[in-house]
Amino acid sequence: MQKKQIGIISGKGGVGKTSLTASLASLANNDPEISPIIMDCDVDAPNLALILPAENEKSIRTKDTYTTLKATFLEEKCIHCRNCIEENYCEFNALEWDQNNKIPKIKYLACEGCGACQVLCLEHAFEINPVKSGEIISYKTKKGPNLVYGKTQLGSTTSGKLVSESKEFAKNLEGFEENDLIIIDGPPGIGCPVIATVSGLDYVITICEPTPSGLHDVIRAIDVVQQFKIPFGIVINKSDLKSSFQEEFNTFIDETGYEVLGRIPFDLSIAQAMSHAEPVVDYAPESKASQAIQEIYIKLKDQIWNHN
Amino acid sequence: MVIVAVPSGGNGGLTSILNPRFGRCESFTFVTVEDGEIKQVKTLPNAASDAMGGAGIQAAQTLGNNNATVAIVGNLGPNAAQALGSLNIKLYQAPNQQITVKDVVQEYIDGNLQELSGANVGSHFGMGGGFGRGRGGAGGGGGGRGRGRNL
Amino acid sequence: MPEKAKIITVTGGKGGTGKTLVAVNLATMFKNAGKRVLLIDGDVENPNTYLLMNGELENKAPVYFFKPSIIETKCSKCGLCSKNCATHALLHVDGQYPIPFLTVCSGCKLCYKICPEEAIKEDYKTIGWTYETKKNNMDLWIGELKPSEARSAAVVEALLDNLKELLEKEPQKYDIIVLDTAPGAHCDVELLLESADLIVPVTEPTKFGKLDLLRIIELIELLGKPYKAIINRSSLLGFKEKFLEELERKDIEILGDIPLDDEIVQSYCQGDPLMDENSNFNKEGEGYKSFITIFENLNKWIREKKTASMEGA
Repeated sequence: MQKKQIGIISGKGGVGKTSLTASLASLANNDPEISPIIMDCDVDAPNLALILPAENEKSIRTKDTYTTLKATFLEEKCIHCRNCIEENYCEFNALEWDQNNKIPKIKYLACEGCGACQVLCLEHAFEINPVKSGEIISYKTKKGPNLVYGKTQLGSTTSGKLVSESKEFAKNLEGFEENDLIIIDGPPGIGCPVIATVSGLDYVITICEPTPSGLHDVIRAIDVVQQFKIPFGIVINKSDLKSSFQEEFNTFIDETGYEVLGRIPFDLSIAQAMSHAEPVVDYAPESKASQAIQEIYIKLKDQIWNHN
Repeated sequence: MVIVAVPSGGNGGLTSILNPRFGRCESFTFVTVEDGEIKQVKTLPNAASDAMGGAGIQAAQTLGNNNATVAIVGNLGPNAAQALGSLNIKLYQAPNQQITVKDVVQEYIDGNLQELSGANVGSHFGMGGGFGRGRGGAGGGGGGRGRGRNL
Repeated sequence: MPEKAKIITVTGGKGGTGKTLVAVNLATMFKNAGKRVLLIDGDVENPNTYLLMNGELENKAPVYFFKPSIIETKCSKCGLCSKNCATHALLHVDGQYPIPFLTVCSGCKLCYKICPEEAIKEDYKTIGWTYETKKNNMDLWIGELKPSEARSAAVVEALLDNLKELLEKEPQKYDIIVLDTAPGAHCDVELLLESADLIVPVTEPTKFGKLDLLRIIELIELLGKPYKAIINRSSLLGFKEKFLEELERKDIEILGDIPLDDEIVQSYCQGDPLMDENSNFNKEGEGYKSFITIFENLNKWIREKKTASMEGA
């Protein structure tokens, strides 16, 4: 099979990205045609590892990343001229005057590491250095495939970069050449980490619920996917939710003509599977939800290998 | 006469292998071609190979400063494509296989390579690319925040 | 001395735990109690508050972000701007004008500040919008990031700049300000946590909810802010007791819990806040009663804080 990379995003959080990713991962793993590798790019709140634990704790590899740059102040060079404050060197408001010591103070969380202070200070009293921005964790899961995920350091302001670095890391894993399907659990939202997740993908699944906010947010996510010209399909979770919005929702989706990969009905077995930290297709393979996901998987394969 | 730039592995040179990662390759090999023959070879390390961001742009700049008029590339992101385009550097797609600089330049001379009109991969935000979510940089429309410029 | 507005930030770590639901209904209950309320939707990647209130987006104002423009008549093509640009957002080849690449520009304005010819103009592009609207006697501010733009935190900052300006000009305009955050623990969220007097993380009784709750609490504690959690969908599979026990063991205080309730789903889908005075929801419903309890506990907490700060003063 030709190698394909797919991602699962939603705009809105909590609509079933991780559940679906875990189930697709399991189905792909049991598929004799496919050798998958799984990634969690929700680096601000990575959860997939809870459902896909390591086969052997000792095999877990962790790599610190240094994708964040931060300024350091070199007090011995400072001549206390206050120019850095007066002339507003920092556009990110990360420089503050410390009255007591007559020196500038760097607000760590606000600093973007842009390097302006380093260039502008004539005394060279600022230096830019990489700092730890997070971790990339990888291991062989109990289920079989490798899992790679990133996790940001709190306050590192670098989610997008860490996503890119995690994707790059996966490419250099042993055995990557043999993997023909990369399945990525994406972050919520539509910002930097989402853009970094979807860039370079062959196909994107946008998952949503039939609620006003679910629809609103998935439209925004689709907007981003379309700007990158990536083919996509919609999965509707809790598709039979009792709500007055159903009709409006379905009409909207029909009128757009977007590809609907499948509809997953509301099914308590999903919640039960999650509480046992199992993909629903393994926990309750005969359930309505599992059957729907199996159909989605078949359709997905058709979309990525036969239509593109 | 054309100067063909090829992103290459190691220190570069005719026998080195083409590196498909344009912005992040180890070196560039510049090959001067005249009357269908290789006349001159020059290599340069790629200063952008471990840049935190904008590697494609920086790499394009290296090509421009060394008067390249043609580039043969594997993967090319949108920023690099746009940068090379604005420098009027013609782009050709390298074959999807391991190939030496010498062989790929010969393919070019023989007219076997396809011209590329733009990026052929999404923005990968390279290693660094996409920043944080970025505070700041904001500006109050017309006025902005005034400041002295004493440099 | 008149009191300064209390700022309550609703957050949660994990997505879809009910942050917006809680933020909208807390704001609504404060309004019912006669307070002057401002609700700010800081989930700028996906602002949803107005959908839960059948509100409209009004008074749109652009959020600008710096972009360098080259004034060719002044530019000497020296390349200093390009050489010093940390993100390589300025392409410069000998003998040519530099070309800006906006997608990688960090907005640091260093190019503008160091150009010896003053040939770089401080220009701006629109990366999102803010809206100010009024709904059900409540003021609502919303930030929205333009799709395909990455700089969400700059939109959050625009909202907070507006808030700062308001608090300077009219410090007594509101009694309560409720902020709704994005999921996650990144800088958009952090900015809104930093601004808070009290923080209410909303979670759900699952392993995922717990993991993300602990992460957001780590950030809240880093910022040194007081917080109490709300457990949403607490009746899910009967996990509530065990979950409460786990939180207690970690010394996490609870403001209350919200059970699964069809009326909540209905109110959510119809865009009528459950707790609105004019809504037709059952006042004896489990969801309704749970919000009443949460509101009582919240008010008690606010009073305790007030007493503590007065004693402190």
